[in-house]
Amino acid sequence: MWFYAIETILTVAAIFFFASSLRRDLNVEALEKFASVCGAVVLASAVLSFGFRGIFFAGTYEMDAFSQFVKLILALGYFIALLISRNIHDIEGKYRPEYFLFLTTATLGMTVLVSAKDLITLYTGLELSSYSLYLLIPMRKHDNASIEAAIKYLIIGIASTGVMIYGFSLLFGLTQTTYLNEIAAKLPGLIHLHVFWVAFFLSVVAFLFKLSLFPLHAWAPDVYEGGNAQTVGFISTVSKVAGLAVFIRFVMMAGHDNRVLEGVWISLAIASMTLGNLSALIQGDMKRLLAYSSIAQAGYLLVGVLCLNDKGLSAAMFYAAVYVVMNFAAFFVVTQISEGGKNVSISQFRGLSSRSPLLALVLMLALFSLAGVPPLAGFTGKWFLFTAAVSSGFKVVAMIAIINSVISLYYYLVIIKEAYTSPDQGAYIQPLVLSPVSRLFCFAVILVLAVAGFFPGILMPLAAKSVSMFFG
Amino acid sequence: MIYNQLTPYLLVSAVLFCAGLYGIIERRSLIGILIAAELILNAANINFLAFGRFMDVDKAIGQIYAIFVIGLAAAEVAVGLSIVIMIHRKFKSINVEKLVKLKG
Repeated sequence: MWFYAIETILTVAAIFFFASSLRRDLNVEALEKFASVCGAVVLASAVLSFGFRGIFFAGTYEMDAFSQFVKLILALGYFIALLISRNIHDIEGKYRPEYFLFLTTATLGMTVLVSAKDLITLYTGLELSSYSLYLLIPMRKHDNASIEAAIKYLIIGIASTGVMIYGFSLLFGLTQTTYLNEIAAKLPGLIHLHVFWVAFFLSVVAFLFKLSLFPLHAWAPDVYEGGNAQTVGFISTVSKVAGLAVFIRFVMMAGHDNRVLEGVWISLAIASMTLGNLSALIQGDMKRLLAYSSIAQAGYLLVGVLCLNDKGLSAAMFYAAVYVVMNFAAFFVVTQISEGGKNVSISQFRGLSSRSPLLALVLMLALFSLAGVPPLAGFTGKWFLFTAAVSSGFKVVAMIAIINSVISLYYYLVIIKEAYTSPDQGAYIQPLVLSPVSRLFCFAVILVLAVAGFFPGILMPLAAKSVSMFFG
Repeated sequence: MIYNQLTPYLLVSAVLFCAGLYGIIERRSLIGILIAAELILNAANINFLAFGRFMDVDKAIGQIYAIFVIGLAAAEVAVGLSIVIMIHRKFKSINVEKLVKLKG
């Protein structure tokens, strides 16, 4: 029973949120408090079950070092999402239980996804998380943009999962099994077949979609602009980490034979980084900018994966963990600045430092970290990623990635400049008051970004240990 | 006989898959796009059943997978249609060309 601590708690929480969505006399404030506590409990259970190992349900569900590490990141993201989901202005109070319900089921689906060792379990977990996310987007009340974003997300999502299922069916035909371990055992006899690589590529399409990598990135800007900031923060971090984890599992299944698709991964990484960063330069809406920046960040993560050695993968996992904190911090600032939950344009950041120095500091650290300015956590993560790429012989890719980080510095700096210039007379001068919880969250973010940047020796061994099972 | 071989089934499923992809790209009506997505899932189902039938493998695996796909496809259509109904209420149309508020 203890082995399923995270899954059990998430299921119970989902049932509770569903039950409270049926109530007429709903106390939204108490529900929000309960949700935060629930997030903390999930995070605690993830920490406690970090060391658990085991194989369950006839080998279809496995807790290994990798899945437990990823679940820790997922639980952290879930906790942050629930913590910053207080006083959401753009979701009506009566829909709040459903909002929490779908956040919970999405996280549940992702925990199943990262532990799945069978194509059926994998598919079920993926769809549970995807459907929940499709339904979270249109809950925003302001205008029709959120519904339009939802249908775009849904169409690209179901198309990519459909392609993935077709790829799975071909993999099943080639290997006559649905267990990932057995598929991996049968691969050496298949790698000379072209049809295998077609099936393999089709199978990872849905994870490229989750990662918002280049050919399947088109939904990201619209969904980020249309959805409310908390949901979008969740999609851009937690969902991305889950997608990355399964992508790594699939890629490592083929191991070093991946050299066949190396050119594909390299071009996807370069295209995502370049397209994301160049498009972000001209954005006026903050969430849209963060969408393009997150496409670029997915490209950096892929640089780590395509090294295919423990150095590259542990760097990718380290960066993923740090990315959850820094990207959520950026979205947190958006939720605080936004008036009545409306979208925030970059000019609205003007004078933030005089309105709330703490919030401006968090924004600056989060964006500097995303850009990779030393000594913050994002810099350390990128350092690991790019040194891994260079030492694995991908010098050109590392060079392009570094040039891209320099480009990205420009648009992050524009926001920081706005935040730290004094405002014109008028509109945005009134001070922002942060709630005690938000204040605490700010300090925690600053602490984490600084500590993970200065002392990577705390997190890095965990990341390295989690991926070492692929090379054992 | 033709129905006793694997290849015709794979051909049919490949045609369905391509038709589905083409439909998702080409269709202007949201319902049409959802139906096209169903075609892709059914192509995968045919593959699973055909491989289960003709390959040296436990017959149940392919069939169980197909049942899972059918079940989850039903959930997918429920989610998709609910959003399409919302779109019809707000935009008075289910044509994708009307959805141009966000410039992807």
